[in-house]
Amino acid sequence: MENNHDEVSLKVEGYPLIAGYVGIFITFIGFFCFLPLILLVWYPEESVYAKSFIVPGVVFILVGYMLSGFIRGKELGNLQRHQDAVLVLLVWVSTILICSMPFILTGEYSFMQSVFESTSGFSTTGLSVVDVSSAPHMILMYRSLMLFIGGVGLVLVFTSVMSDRYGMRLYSAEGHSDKLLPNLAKSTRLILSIYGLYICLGTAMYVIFGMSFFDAINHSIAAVSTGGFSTQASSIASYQSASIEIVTIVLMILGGTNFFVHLYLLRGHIRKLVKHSEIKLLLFITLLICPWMIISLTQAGYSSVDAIRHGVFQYFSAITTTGFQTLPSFQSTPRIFTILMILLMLIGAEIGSTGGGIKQQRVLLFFKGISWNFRDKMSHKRQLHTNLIDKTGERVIISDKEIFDNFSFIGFYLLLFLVGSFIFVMEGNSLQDSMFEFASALGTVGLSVGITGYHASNVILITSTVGMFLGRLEIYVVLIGISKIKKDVFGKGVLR
Amino acid sequence: MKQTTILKRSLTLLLTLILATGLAFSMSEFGVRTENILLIYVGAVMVINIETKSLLAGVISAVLCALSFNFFFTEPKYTFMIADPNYFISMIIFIIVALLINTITSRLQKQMLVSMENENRVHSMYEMSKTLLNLHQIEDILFYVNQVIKEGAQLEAHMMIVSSSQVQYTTITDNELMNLIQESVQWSLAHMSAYGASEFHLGNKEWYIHPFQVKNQKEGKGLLLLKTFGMKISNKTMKYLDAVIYHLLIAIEREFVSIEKEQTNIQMAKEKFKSSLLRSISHDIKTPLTTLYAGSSFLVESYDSISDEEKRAMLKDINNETMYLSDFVDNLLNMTKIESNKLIVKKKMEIVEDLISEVIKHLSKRVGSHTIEVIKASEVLFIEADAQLIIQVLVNLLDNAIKHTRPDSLIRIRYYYQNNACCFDIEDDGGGVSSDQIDHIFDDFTLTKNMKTDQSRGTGIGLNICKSIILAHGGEIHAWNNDCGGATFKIVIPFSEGGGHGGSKNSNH
Repeated sequence: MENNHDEVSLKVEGYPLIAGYVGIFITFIGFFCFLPLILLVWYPEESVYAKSFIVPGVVFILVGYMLSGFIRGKELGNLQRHQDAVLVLLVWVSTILICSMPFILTGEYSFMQSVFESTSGFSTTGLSVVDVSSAPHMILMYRSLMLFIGGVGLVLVFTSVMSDRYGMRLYSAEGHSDKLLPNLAKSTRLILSIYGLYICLGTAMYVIFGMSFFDAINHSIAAVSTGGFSTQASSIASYQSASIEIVTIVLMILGGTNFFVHLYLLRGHIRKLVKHSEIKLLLFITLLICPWMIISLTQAGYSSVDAIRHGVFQYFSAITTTGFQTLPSFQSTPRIFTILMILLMLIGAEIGSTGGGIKQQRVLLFFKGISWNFRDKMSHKRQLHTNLIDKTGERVIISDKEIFDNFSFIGFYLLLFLVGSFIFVMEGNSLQDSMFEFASALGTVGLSVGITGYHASNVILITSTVGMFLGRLEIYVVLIGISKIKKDVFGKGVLR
Repeated sequence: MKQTTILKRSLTLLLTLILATGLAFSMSEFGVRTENILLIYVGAVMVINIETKSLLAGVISAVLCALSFNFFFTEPKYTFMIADPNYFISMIIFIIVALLINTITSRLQKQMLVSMENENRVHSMYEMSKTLLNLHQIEDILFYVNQVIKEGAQLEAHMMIVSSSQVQYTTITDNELMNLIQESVQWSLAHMSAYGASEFHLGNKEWYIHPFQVKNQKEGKGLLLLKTFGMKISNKTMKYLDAVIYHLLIAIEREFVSIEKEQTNIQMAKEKFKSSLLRSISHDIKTPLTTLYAGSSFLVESYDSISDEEKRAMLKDINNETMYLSDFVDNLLNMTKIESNKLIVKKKMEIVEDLISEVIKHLSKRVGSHTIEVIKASEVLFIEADAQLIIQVLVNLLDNAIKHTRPDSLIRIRYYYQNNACCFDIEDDGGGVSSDQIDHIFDDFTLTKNMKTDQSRGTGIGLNICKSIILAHGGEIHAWNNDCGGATFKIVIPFSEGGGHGGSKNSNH
């Protein structure tokens, strides 16, 4: 930390500033823990569970209150380079840890299981150790709320409540690449209200098609957040209703779509949408892989209607990284179907959506990068090409550095995928199952072949927790944050 | 107190209380013993006290906490009864502890506020002394200090520096305000004590006036005016203001010293100038006087032994020198008049031709072997001018030409009408003026380098006087070197309205 001694500085900077921000976040999360208590109005018999939420809530409001003493009523300095990454990292880690407390306090889950569940919620994955058939409504609702907050983005939700002039850097550090409106608080409120609208509409549709209100709202949140926590043990399959499946597919697509697309949709700029490169790619992938999956299912003995229903539903569940299931199990599906699912989970949703995975835009840029590279090699040396990509109706020039960054991201992602799958294999699972399960965790999808679950070993839980965490925060923020902390603590040894 | 603050405090109180009770309830559900529950409430009281910054809220919260503890956690539950007398003691101890914490935290908070204020003031002092070092105008300094006081003490301020009951510097630009406070300012200055501190007032109730002495200045006094609306200024603020004034005084005194220094420098330059003037004048007077003395004493001593022709030649020399001296003294006189702005131009209508013939007559004894050619205008010209001064200018210029050219050279004087003005050109065929001097030729004491010889002596004040006289007539004077060597001086004297050009017309008729 550089400290200019010539200037008398009364501003809060460096780690005290970070601690203060984290304090405010923790207070916020403390209040978040109270939200499920509202359910006591409808389910008063669950009041025995209330203490599990109140105790962490109050304790962390107090902790956050004390930490925020670092910055309250003081003049705030700027976050320095990479400190925003540290802040985002700390916020996510502390949120996950705090929100695992209620699970622990119910006395039914171990520490690692609770952390796993909490990470799964905030990363919108949907892998779960909770037995939904016996769990109280409060826990189920709590999971759905975690999905919503995690899907939209912790920092984003925070900035919508509290307008802050440093919010912008945190906002982009959390992986929201595009600025929607000039005012940050306004744009975050817009995002929240649009998702809120989708959730309300989804809930209404579900209720119309015969779901109970509680199930409807949970499924609606889970679908729009591309989370995939279900209140039924066999997920969407338990309803056996084509209309509910269709509603779910629509909600999942909405959740897995770039937020800009929603904005243009609302404003009626349809033409810009048609040109949007990600939409084209999505159409291409859908037309290529969806029929293939359906065919593979028919070959495995499903009737053609069932094959279409399951194929289409599972296709969208995987590519939007939601993780709802209509198939009873992935153990019995044909191999080619499973492989395609792994591929879809790796590709993932659109950038700027609630979904995870590598993201379609990166995949597009990956292939474009290869073709541009080939074109440059083939064409005349002195010929120059401009590399353009359609982003929401505008042609954007892509620099060589961006292409390289993209390659290295995808390379790192695949490396992580291999390492995680390897660990799963070491734990005694088949290679295909391991790849499926870890792709699901890393892509924050939540489809499971059964490796993770209540009885999974701690190694499996830790590996998938790390995978989900890295997958949600898009790896680099985590790495930058960790290396910055490491440098500050062990490097020069100068901590201010 | 504002209503919003009360509302905010009550909300904080309520929220903390609810949270604490919720936590306590959950804890007791988890099997925590009832005694520990009281500790949670102690924490709650502390938080409420810190957040609301009010002793009253702290006391209320202590009582409420005790009551809710009684209601929720002591047997029989959900009543305000207490079965176990132990809890009575616990609750009394709790209230005492809570009150103690209350008083301690509020005292700490007060101290913190005071120290924060002090810190801010020290910081602003530091900033101020740093900035004052870089300010160099007294007005700037005063305005800056106004701003500092506004930031540091939240008071609108004005400054005034008064010397021997004359306002020298002030930051007040508003005349109305100036009139309003005038009486109180004078009172404050006369008594050298603060105005506005007591009930007594002179028409102005809003402004508090604090006088202070400015050192290094004769009877210099400063005034600090503060818009207090009749409110009393706290001791702490007064101390702060004293410190600000102290810094201000240092800056002002430094500024005064530097002004004085500048004035001394100017004085020194003037002295230097005067002494060099005296030296050159005494030299110029001494030389002809020596000639006069030598010639006249020789005549007195050996009047009989020399021939008539020699006598005549000597007398002619004496006459020449006397004439030179007389011209010189004329010039000096005019110069002193010009210097002290007492040159009065008595303008009259003059015929240019007459002026020229006067000049030629004046110079006839000095011409020697030089030829002076006069080229007249085609018409008769009248100018409105002081004949004596104009003649002096022309004599000076022609004399210059005679001095600075070889014998037998030709000097031309031409006058003509041009652009509603009368122009005089004086040309010679001498060596001209060196190019580095031609730009400064009309400035004070410009001496050409070859002026040491007896023949071409000069004081360097001639051309300067010419310029002053011509400017006093509203005209122009220029000098340049001719293409074929030699210099030309040009004088332009404009005709006044309805003036001399009419004369030329008359002559045409």
